[in-house]
Amino acid sequence: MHLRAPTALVIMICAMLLAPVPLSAHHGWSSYDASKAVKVEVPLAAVRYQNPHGEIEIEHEGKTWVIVLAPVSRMQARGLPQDDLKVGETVIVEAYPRRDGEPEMRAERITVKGKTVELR
Amino acid sequence: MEEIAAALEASSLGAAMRDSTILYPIVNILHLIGLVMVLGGIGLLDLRMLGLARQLPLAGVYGLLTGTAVAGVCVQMGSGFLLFASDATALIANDAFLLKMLLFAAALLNAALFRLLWRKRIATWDAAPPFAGRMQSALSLFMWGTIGALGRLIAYV
Repeated sequence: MHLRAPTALVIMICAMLLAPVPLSAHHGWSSYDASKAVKVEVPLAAVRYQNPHGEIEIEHEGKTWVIVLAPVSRMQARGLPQDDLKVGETVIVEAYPRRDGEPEMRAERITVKGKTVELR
Repeated sequence: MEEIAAALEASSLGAAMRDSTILYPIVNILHLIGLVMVLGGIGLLDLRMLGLARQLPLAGVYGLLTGTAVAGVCVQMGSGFLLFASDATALIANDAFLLKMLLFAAALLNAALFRLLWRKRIATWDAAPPFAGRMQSALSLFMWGTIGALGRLIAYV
């Protein structure tokens, strides 16, 4: 049995197309609903300044929300060092909640001590 | 399983992967280079086994591409372990990750079986290619491509 080059290519392309498609997105921006943007001024309940992306927790509408920030290197480059994010510190967060209802948001920007940092 | 993942995540290795500014991006890039080596090695070999580029002598191509793929798999296992350590408890609950690991095991088994069954028939492959061997090559191409895609999708499921 000899397969010609086009046949082999067709097999390869089919292999790529058959790769499973995710049911729901999580970290991509598309899984957060930008039409329901939330802007709140709250104290930080928890801070995780870490890779692959930093996270903070806030209390909002009776729930504890995880707010996804950005990779450590990006936060540092844009002027949001670890020392600026302290538990208890009041910040202004602009973020988009997840479409699937999980109490998680992705932050567009955060204002700490009067300084606004873009996170996208 | 959960205990092992939690212990790994809490280890100094997991902490270093999360806390260092440059470690995670560096390992992430290594994992991308390793993916290119795997697909450029075994993917091209699979295509050659399926009959593509027959003007290239299989005797030389087989060794070169197998070596590239094996080196790539080593890079992937090392860098992948480090990435796993940073976020282990979330990853063992991630469907894309679990399916990827399952396919990875199956793809390694398929590759080992291929070598075991057909290595001695490389010289006569082009003249009389075994059907089962070619099916294994097609399966290999599908599995490694899907493994790469699933890796990318871990952050999106």
